[in-house]
Amino acid sequence: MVDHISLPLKIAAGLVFAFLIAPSLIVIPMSFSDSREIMFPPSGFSWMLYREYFAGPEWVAATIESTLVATGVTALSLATGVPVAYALVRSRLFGVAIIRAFVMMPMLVPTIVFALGLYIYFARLGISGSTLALILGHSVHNLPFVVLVVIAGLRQVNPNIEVAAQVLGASVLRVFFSVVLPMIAGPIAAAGMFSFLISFDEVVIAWFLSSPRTMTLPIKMYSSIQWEVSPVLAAISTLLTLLSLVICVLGVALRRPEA
Amino acid sequence: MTVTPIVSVRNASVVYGKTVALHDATIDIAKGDFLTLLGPSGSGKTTLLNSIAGVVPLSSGQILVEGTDMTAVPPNRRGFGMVFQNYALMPHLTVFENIAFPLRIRHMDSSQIRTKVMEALDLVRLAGLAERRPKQLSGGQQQRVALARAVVYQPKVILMDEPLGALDKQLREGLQGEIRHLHAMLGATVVYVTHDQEEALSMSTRIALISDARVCEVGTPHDMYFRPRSVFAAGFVGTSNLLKGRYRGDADGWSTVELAGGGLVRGAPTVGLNTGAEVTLMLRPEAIDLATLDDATAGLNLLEGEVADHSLQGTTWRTVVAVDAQTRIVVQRLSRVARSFPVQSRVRLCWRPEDTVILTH
Repeated sequence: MVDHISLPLKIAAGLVFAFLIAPSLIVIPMSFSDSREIMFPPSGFSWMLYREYFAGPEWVAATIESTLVATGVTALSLATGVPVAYALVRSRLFGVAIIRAFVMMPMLVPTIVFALGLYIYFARLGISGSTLALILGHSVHNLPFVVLVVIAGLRQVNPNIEVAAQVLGASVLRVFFSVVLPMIAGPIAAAGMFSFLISFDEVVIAWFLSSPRTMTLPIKMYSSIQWEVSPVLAAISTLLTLLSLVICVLGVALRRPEA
Repeated sequence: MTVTPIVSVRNASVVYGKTVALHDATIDIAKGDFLTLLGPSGSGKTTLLNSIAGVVPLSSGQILVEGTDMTAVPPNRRGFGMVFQNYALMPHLTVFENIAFPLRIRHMDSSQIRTKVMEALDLVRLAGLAERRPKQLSGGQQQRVALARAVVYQPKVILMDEPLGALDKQLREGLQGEIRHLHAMLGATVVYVTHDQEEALSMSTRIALISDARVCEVGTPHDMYFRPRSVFAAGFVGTSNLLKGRYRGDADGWSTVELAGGGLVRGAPTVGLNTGAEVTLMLRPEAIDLATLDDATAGLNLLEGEVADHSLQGTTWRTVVAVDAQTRIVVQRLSRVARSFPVQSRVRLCWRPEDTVILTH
C-alpha cells in the first residue's frame, strides 16, 4: 500500500515520526542508569531503578490501584459498550443517529470539562475519591472507544448469520450470546485491552477523582515529579511503554472478527 | 379442495416510508410444494420470503401457518428452515456444530444429535467433513452444509433465498439436482427465490411471478411457459417473440388476429375479447418452422420474411427472420434435422394456430 509513496516523502515522514517518538524512547536507556540523577546519556548500566520501583510500597500500592481501576473499567465498559454497539449497528429504529451521537459525546467534550463535571457530580453522590468513582468516570470516558472498535468488528459480520440462527429457532437473546458474541470475540478482546490501557494511563480524570487513598500510578508519578525528580520514573515509563506496545500489537491482531 | 395450505399469505403488504416493497400479496403454499418466487431484482420476491420467515414485519395482511395466524409470531417460533445466498454459516463453529445448532436449541440429547447430524451430512454427501470449519470448505460445500442445517430438524417449510446465486454455472446445475432430490426424498415444502427463469422452470412445482412488488401470476412451470397470461410473464419466462395486432373475431374455432404489420393469423381460442381490441401474440422460437416459398404448409399460420441472421447454437439453429422493417422473429430448430437457410434468402415462417398465445395485457 505504501509502495507508491516517493522516497523524499518517506524520509520526511520518518523524520516526523522520529521527532514524535524520541521523547518516549529516550527514557528507555535512562531507566537502566546507575546514577541517582536523571541524565542522558546514562553513565552506566544497572537494574537499580527497577528494583527501587518494585520495592517501593507507595509505587506498588499505586500500581495495584491502577490495575484494580483498569480491570473494573474494562469489565464495565465492555458490559455496556458491546450491547450498545450491537444495537447501533443492527437497529433500524428512528433516532439511532441521535443515540450514537450521545454515546460518542465523552470523546468530543474536552477532558478537563468532563473531569470537572464528574468531580462535581460524584461529590454530590458522596463517592468522590473512591475507587468506584474512578471506575465509573473512566468507564464513561472509554465507552466511545469500546463502541467504535466493536462497531468496526460487527460491520464485518454477515447479518444473515443472525437471521439464519433466528429462523432456525434461536431467540434474540440466544442469538446475541451464542452467535454474535463468539463471532466478535476478537474485537471485544481488543476493545477490552484498549479500554484497560486507556484507563491505566489516564491522568486528567484520575487527578480530579482520586484521593490519597486511591492514587493511581500516573497520578503518583505526576505528584512525585513535583517534589523530587526521581529517576524511578524512567523505569516506570519504560514498563508502561512496554505494556502499551504489547496491548496495541495484540489489539490490532484481534480487531477483525472471525469470517 | 379442503386441505389447509401449509402457508397462506393473505393480502400481505410491506411499506417502508413511501417505498412499497410488497403490495397486497396473496398466495397459498400446499404441503410438498416447491414454490419458486421468480422476478427481476428489486421486485419484492425476497421481501415476500422474509415476511413468510417473520424477519420482515408486515405493514398489513396476514401469514397463516396450517390455518393459524402467525403474523405476530417471531421467526424463531415459526418452525421454518432457511438457506441464504451467502451461506450464513457460523464461522466459529465446525460443520458438525453448525448443523447441530437447531437441534441443540430444541434440547435434543447428544446421541440423538450425533445420529441426526450424521444423517444430514450423508444426505448432502459431506460425511467426511464434519470437523472442518466453514472457511475451509468451497462455496458449493458450504451451501450443502447450509442445506443440511435447514433440513436436519424437519422444518415445516424450507425457505431458500437465491441459494445458488453465488456459485458458478456448473456447480449451480449440480446443486439444482441435489435440492430437487432433497425435496423429493424428504417430501419437504420449499419456497425458493430466484431471478433465474431457467432455474425456476426446471425446479419448481409452481412458480409465482413477482414484479413491481406484486404477485402477478401463479402457475405450474408448464403453464407459465406454454400458456402465460400476461405479456410480462411471456417475456420474462423463456425466450419469446411478441407481435402486436388487433383481434378480428373467431373463425373455425380459432381466434383471428390482424398483425400490425399486415397479415392475418389464427391463435388459440381466447374468450372475452372485443373485435378491434389491441392484443399481443406470443410465439416461442421453437414452435416455428421455416419453409421455402413453395413448400406445402396447409393449416398453419404463415408469414413471409427474409433471413437476417442464421447461426448454429449446437443443439439448434437460431435464425432471425425480418418480417418487415420493425419486426424480427427468432426461430429455433433442431440442428440435426432442420435445413439450413442462408442469410438474405426469402422464407416462410409457419406455426400451428394452437401455439399462438393471445395476450391482452
